[in-house]
Amino acid sequence: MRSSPFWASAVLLGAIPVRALDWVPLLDSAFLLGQTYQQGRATSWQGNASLQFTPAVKLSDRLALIPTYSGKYQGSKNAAELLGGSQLFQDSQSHSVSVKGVWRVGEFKIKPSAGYRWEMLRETKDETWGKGLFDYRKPSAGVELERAFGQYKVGAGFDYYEIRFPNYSSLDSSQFGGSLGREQSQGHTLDSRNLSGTLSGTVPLPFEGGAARLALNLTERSYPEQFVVVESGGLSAEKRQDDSKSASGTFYYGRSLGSSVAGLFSVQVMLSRYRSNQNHYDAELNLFNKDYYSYEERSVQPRIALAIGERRVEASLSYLWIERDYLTRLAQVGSGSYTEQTVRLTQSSFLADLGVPIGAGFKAVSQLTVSHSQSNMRYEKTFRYNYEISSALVGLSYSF
Amino acid sequence: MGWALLMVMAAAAEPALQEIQGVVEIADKPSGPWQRVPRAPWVIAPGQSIRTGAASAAALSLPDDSKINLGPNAVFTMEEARKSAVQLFLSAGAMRAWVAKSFGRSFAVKTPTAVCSVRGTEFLVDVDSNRQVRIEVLSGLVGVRTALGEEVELGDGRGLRNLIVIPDRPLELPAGRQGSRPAAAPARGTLTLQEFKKEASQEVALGLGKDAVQAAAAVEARRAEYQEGKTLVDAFGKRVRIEEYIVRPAADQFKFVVLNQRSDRFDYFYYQATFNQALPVVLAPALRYLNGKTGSAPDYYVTSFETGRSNTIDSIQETGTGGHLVNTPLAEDTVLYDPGSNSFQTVAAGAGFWQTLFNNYSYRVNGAEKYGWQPAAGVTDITAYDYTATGFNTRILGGAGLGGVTCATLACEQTNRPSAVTQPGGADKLHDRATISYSNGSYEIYDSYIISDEGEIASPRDFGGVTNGATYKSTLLKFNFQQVIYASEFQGRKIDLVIEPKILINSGVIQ
Repeated sequence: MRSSPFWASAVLLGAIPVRALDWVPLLDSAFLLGQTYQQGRATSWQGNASLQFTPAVKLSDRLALIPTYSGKYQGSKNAAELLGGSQLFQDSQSHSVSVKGVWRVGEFKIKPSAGYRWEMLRETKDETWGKGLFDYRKPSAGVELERAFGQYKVGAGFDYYEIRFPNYSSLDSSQFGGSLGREQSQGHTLDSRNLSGTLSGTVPLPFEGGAARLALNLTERSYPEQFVVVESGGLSAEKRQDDSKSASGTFYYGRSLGSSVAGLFSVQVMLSRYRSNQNHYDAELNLFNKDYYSYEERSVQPRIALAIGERRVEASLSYLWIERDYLTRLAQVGSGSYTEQTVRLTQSSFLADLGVPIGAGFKAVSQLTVSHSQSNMRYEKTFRYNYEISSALVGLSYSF
Repeated sequence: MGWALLMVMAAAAEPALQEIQGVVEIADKPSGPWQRVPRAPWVIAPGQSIRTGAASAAALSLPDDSKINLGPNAVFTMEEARKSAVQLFLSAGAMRAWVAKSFGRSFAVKTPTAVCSVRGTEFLVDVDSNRQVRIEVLSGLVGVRTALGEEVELGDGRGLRNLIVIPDRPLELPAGRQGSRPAAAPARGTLTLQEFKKEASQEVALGLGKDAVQAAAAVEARRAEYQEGKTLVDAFGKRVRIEEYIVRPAADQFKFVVLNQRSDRFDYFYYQATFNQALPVVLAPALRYLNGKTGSAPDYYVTSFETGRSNTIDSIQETGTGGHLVNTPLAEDTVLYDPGSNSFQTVAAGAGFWQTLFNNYSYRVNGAEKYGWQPAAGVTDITAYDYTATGFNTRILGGAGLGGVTCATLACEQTNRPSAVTQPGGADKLHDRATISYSNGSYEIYDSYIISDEGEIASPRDFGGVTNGATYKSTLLKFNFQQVIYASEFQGRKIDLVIEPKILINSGVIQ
């Protein structure tokens, strides 16, 4: 046949993507050692390790299955994670399994997913693995719908998840607190049920290499065992109900910087508003604070990421600024007395990451974080609002 | 986001080889010199050429999201690759292209004998060794202009689907293919291995990102517990959970409860007071003058109270009844706690001071009274806790079978219930030990620790060297207070409470 070379080529060309697409393994792992410095004190060297494995399966051109295991051990937290007054003596491990389907229907992608995460923490000397007060489990399920219009992409997602603290129950409801407790107190007051909806879109910006991702999220959070505190200090029959609304925009600009450097510049801006019907009663000072948990938050994170040279050395610098204003929560002075001001919390972090490929999928990596937290809240007996903290981690990563 | 995105963005900004099989070479000029492409992805600069060896292939991505696969023995030049214009030259071999739809962008594939102008299309081009060009449009529309100036549209049902352009000869349609209907898009093979890996990687990143956002709710819940002081670390590095709340057993009563839990024990403290009248919804005004008031008499005062400290087996209980107001000029400057301002204030000597005194008091260990007081015979209301004032008697070991005595003098009390305070940790540690002993050999020991934020025993240096007075007490409010109680009746057990000093001050346990 005269045209056989042509059609043979065509078959080969068509065959390139078909072959070996039945499954693709993805692996990402890292081991880091580091120290944290808080108030001039350094912790001993502690290690972090993480492993993430995905055997992505292509069942057909229309259907793919993406199961993932992600596990992490943290013996030393980076400074950004410690923002919020966590203890220095702390290690944790988390395990997460999930499966996501990607189903192409015409121009749409439908992506159902389900997952389960559990995290264990050892915050004090007397806690052992699995017995941490704030160990939690999170079952989740959701579905996303996505449609691409050329370079435009829009998506909608809906998720349901629960957060359960199996080792935490209110003392008020405990066996011994019962005789001293309040009539309506219940045990698992921190457990919550969450419904979350997200709309997102990715659009090209009117210059080469520019793109933006915009997202809106609404989360309804209910606490089935937490009653609302009332002005008299007692509990009402009403249950706690929170909602969170957020809008975020991330703007990217990627381009070559000379012949051997690729750069990605991004800025993420987020606004969020959290509302809760839960109040607070300070039993020591007999002060009732309505809508104690409601706040508004703003954050900005500019970031520069570079891939340098033929070895693709990766370097990134970013700065994170977060400001949270509680709407009614009153700031306190050091002794605990209340002021007229509401609490404002400002946190900032400078983060520098470096990854140097050393061959065969291995990289030498380092992470440096310097964080600063400032607030008009000066009552810091059990939670630190004003401090500086930094961390330095070095190690190896391996991925394929 | 991160490097995965960076790769995407880099790929979006520049043409790149995303997958290679066999021998794939690159050169700055079509004439060479050629260098082997070591790995994918590999960015292709405008003007560079690519060639594939026998049984070799390559997949490229272009800035406008278009994709091209090159077959074996192909020679290909990226003449121009911008978002607004793409121009490629295929001088030999076969290529298959998936061209993204885009307004205002030109996409042209040149061959030695024809130029294909493309508008959102999947098509095949093959240049054989005789420079004969074969074109098949699988979907979309391609306009072809030959070197002889002929123009024809292919594809999408509006024209021809495939043709052969032979050098120096007019267009030639393959036999039996004229006017055929557009073929359906291939059912398989639209994603390369690299693309699927990238897509899977992005989905994993999105999934883990979502997982982290959801998990943040758990972090918030934990932080709130710390912020509200419901959990802290004690002097021995152990977690102490604390819950404090009030209940209203009756209209004229309130009970303040502090619960402590550690991994191996549960302790609690409570203070219940009955007032001279029904309490308001907002308690603060009624509780403000529990420790006394200058000026006019307070509207609310306590007529009876009860405090309890327990480890759920053992208990220390105090009760007071017959509460009444007494207005007495202060004998000396006195430091008093003001719950309204949560601070200590010095009241000058001589100021009239309203105080609640209780006619009857009882201190019981595991239910048996070891100490108490009462009015002397014939006295209705005690006017001062002072033996020299009229009508104050104490009871030592007043419980049944303890062989107690009633004292009408301080000397009697000190003989039958001596007490001493020591500092077991030395002068540099704010750790006091008060030992109370009784004539029957029984005892109670109160170990009191002032604990810093980190759960360490504070030092007088933390108080600026001041160890008493208003400054000391004001500073004390910034610390936690751990009280460990031992008693002969506890049989080796203890009551171990971590509690805020102002709770004990407010309830009269600390003056």
